[in-house]
Amino acid sequence: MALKKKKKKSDSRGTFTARQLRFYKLSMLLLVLLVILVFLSIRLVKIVHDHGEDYQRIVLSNQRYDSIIIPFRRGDIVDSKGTILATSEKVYNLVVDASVMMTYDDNRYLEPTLNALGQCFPQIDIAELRAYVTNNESSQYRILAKRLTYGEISEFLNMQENNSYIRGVTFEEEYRRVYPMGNSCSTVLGYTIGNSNSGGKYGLEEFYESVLTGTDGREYGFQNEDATLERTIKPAVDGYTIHTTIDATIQGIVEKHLNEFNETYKNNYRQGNGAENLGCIIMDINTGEILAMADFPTYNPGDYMNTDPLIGCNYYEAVENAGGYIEYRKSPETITQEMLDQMSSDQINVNLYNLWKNQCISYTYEPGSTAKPFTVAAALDCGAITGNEVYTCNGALQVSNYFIKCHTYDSGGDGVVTVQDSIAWSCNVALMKIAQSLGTENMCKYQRVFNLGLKTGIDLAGEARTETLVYNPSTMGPVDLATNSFGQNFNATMIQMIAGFSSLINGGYYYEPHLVSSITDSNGAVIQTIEPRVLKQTVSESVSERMRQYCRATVMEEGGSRRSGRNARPYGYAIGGKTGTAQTIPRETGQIVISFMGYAPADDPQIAIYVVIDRPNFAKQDNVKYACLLCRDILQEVLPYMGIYMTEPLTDEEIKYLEEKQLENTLRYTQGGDSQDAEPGTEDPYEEIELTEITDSTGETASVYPRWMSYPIDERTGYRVGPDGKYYDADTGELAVESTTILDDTIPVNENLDGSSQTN
Amino acid sequence: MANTKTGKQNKVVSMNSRTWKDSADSFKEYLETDIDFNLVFIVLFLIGFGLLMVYSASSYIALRDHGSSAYFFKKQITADVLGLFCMVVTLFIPIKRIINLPHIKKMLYIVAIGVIFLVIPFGIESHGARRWIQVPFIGGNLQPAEITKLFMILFLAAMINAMGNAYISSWKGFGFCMGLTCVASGLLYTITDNLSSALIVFCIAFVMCFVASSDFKKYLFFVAAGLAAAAGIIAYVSSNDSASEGSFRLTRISSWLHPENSTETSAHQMLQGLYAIGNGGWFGRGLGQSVQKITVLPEPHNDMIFAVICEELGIIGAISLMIMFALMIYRMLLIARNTKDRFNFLVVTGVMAHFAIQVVLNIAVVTGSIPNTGVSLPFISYGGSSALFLLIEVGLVLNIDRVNRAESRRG
Repeated sequence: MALKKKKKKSDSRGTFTARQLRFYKLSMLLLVLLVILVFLSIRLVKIVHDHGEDYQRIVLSNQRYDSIIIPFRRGDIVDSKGTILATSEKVYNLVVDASVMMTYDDNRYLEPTLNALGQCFPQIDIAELRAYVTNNESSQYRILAKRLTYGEISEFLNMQENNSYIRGVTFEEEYRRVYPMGNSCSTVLGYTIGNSNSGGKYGLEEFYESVLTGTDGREYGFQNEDATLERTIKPAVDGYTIHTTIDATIQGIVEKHLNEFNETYKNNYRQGNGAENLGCIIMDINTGEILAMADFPTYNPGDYMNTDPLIGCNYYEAVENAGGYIEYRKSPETITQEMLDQMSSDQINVNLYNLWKNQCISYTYEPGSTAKPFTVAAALDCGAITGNEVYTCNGALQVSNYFIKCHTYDSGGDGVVTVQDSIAWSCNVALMKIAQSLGTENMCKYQRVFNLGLKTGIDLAGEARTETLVYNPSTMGPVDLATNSFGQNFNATMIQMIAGFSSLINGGYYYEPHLVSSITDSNGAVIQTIEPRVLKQTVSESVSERMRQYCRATVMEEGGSRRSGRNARPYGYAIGGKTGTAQTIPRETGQIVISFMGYAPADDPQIAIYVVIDRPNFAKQDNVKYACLLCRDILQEVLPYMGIYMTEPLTDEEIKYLEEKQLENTLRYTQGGDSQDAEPGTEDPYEEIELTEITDSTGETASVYPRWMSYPIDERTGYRVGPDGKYYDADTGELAVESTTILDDTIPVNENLDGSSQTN
Repeated sequence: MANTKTGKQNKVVSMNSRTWKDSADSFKEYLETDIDFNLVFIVLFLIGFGLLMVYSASSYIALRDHGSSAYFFKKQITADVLGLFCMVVTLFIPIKRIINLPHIKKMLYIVAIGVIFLVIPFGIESHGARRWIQVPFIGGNLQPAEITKLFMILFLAAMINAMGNAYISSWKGFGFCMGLTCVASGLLYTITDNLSSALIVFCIAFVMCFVASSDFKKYLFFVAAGLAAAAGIIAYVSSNDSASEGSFRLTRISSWLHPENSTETSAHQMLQGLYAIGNGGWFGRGLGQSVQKITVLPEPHNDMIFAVICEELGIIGAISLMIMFALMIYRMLLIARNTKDRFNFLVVTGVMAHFAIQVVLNIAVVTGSIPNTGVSLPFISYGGSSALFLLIEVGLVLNIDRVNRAESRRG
């Protein structure tokens, strides 16, 4: 054992010590390792201690996702039946991230991505993009195409889904404002700047900007108290939808007829549109809700910078007036394509401003005879007249030192005129006499009662201020009183006139005219309901009843042969109303605003309508018949649409006319307007039965034509010209009074009025 | 005293009882012996932690590039399970018997070198280098460098064991071992363009030679010479910026010295790693909360995973991980202490060196202490081959420990 031990010791002393040594060596190495690890730990601590905050900041600032905006959706604008008038459509901006495309040196992403882009988006210059991506490897954001629709990008999205090598292309969401009805309702709606989802201009878009816009959402990172980056998504709050009282069908009918009028009479007498301005408002007479509001020319809010609609409009110029204000002055010149090409962008903008305006609320003019019911109602309401008075009209009345004529001046005046006749025949002399009994004090008071000179408060942006365009008791002289009585020498807007007129007819209740009936959120929950608002009682119910009687007489047979509004009656209906033929300033040019303001049906008023033709493109502009006919054509379609039944018998011609109209309408709606396919044999047999029936009931029709019917019709004026060179009304044969200048240029005008300029 | 006793026992087993029956008995005895559960626990912890961190670090990139956030996690878990299986298999291999077979040293060396050549016909290019081969039938990719590391450890242990103490302590023996190692390292560097693996193999061999020999001087000399050379290169690069333009390696050193001025990806990567550490602070942003991993750290689940750990778990978490590694190596040291057999001791030494070197190099790179080399963090970084062969190495150590325990029980 000892030997063995010794032997082992002797020969394995080296082994033994070597084993010990190698263990020591190994332990030493572990020690070295520990030292190194301690050193590395110290280094870690040093990094955090010395640079921790800097590095944290760098890391936080590197985060790109801390400011991703999630756009809100602007609320829709819909009509009373839910038809969308304005909506927002999600569109996509194509963004490329070069750094992702160039992730790998072997271009495994680059080529498939470029190929797919080239295939799906022909508008992208791939060669240019390739150069850009390879030269700007660090670029992470470049917009290549804007506002693509989902249809345009869906092919690419499919390819992207099926090929994981298509990378570095993202689509940023955005909303684009879309007006599906094109030009329809344009000036009522307004537009949004750049068709984006905020920045409404004009009309409802501007007035309801805060309702329509929502709040952008955000996906962002923020540092909490531990300086940790947290990602939070705050969803976007979409804008509210506004439900308007507009009925797109009625609006369409109105716009169709305004366009037809323009088509018929443009370039008729002078170069340019059928009239300088055309406007029409249809309103629910018992609530103040606007059913249609249209003017001409219109524009497309989806393409509001397009200058095409300007052609044919009067040229507006920005002029600095004596007071240092910029004034937009209308020139008699009308815009042509050549002029447009030469106009500077400033000049174009001035004219576009005018185009974008809603003339129904922002255009002020002298309303003319349509103001007569207001004067009469005021006189009746305050007891200045009883309604049983009889006036004599010799064709003119001397007020102070001036002779103010009636339009029957040349034919010797209207003779004996009752209060009803004064409206039905539109007798200026009788009105002046009524105004004289009313007095300046009451005249001004009642003008304010009818909201003339005040804003109506309609929920549209851009309603004109007319405060300075009317008289007050201290400024109104006897001549002003006289001219005001038949609607001259003060200015009003269309909406003021129709809102006031509605109150005269509906029993004296002045409703605030409004366009929006309710507001709902993006889920359809009702946020606000806007009820009709009665602002005041303008006249008593008994006065209103008389006004209905007088206005009915203006249109219907009881007004006698001299009634001014007979052409306004739609066949089969009884309506009431008042015509207007207003001279503009300067008086001597003979430029006229013709208009018709009415209500229907006559016995159960439901709607009010106001048609204004400003300076029609005729040689003789004072033929109010055209406003009446325009009103008739509109009502002829609107009343049946509204479910209002005919109450009056129809004559042969009327049936024939309606039949043609019906055929035209049937064709329009059933055969897409292709009238060439229409044959008499294809008519509805039901119509023929109706035809025979009515023919039986009205057998007596004039078989002998009067002489005037053989006179040729002068196309420019619309009058028949007799061999004596005199003008005869084409339908009635009445001798037309040649250029009846009621107010010649000697009669003082309201110095605040200026027919050709508007101060903004 | 215990040492002497077990040493005697060793002799009895290895030299005297060579009959088949005896060896079968001893194998039965071996199977009945406990294994080192401390080490097993540490390794399992590291694997589990590694999986967690791979999932956390790679989920965003996996989702972006492969459509599933668990893409890398699943691959890693497969490799880990396979590795654990191989580790268990390794436990049943009678290493000592195999190593005593004739020509075994030559064969080990041929395998170690030969696998490197496999990348020439079967190599797959990835990440800009040809380092992987496709394994038939299984479909996974294998990094031959990992096989080389394992077989070089076994080869060197067998070689040095055969050489005897005096020979290895001499210049001749040292030169012979290091010469053969340099051939392997050189091949790794030239054929697979994998400097870090070449370096690791070289360092493992150096450590094994150092531990086996009774000499200090020449090792100190080499370490001093190596440090001096490194200092010289650094001085050269830092004094002469234009010098670095030609060479890729020198550029790396230059960008390590001045990462802010460098446009190179490695410098960018290193800086972003530092930002991650800074962002993590002492306690980290919380698991899964790293922001650096999302875009700026390229392949955060690979070599830079330590940066993600620092960002998510803070310095505390990072140091805890380093302590776990130190504990693992300490457990191996304890096993080495109980190992009487020189070959077994050297195998344990080689495995310890392998782990230690990779841990140190990886953390040093992430902390910006040395230039960027692609060294993965054992068990933590994503990588199937690495996990597989590291687990086999752990299996070897456990096997050796079991042999020791069996012997000491018998003794």
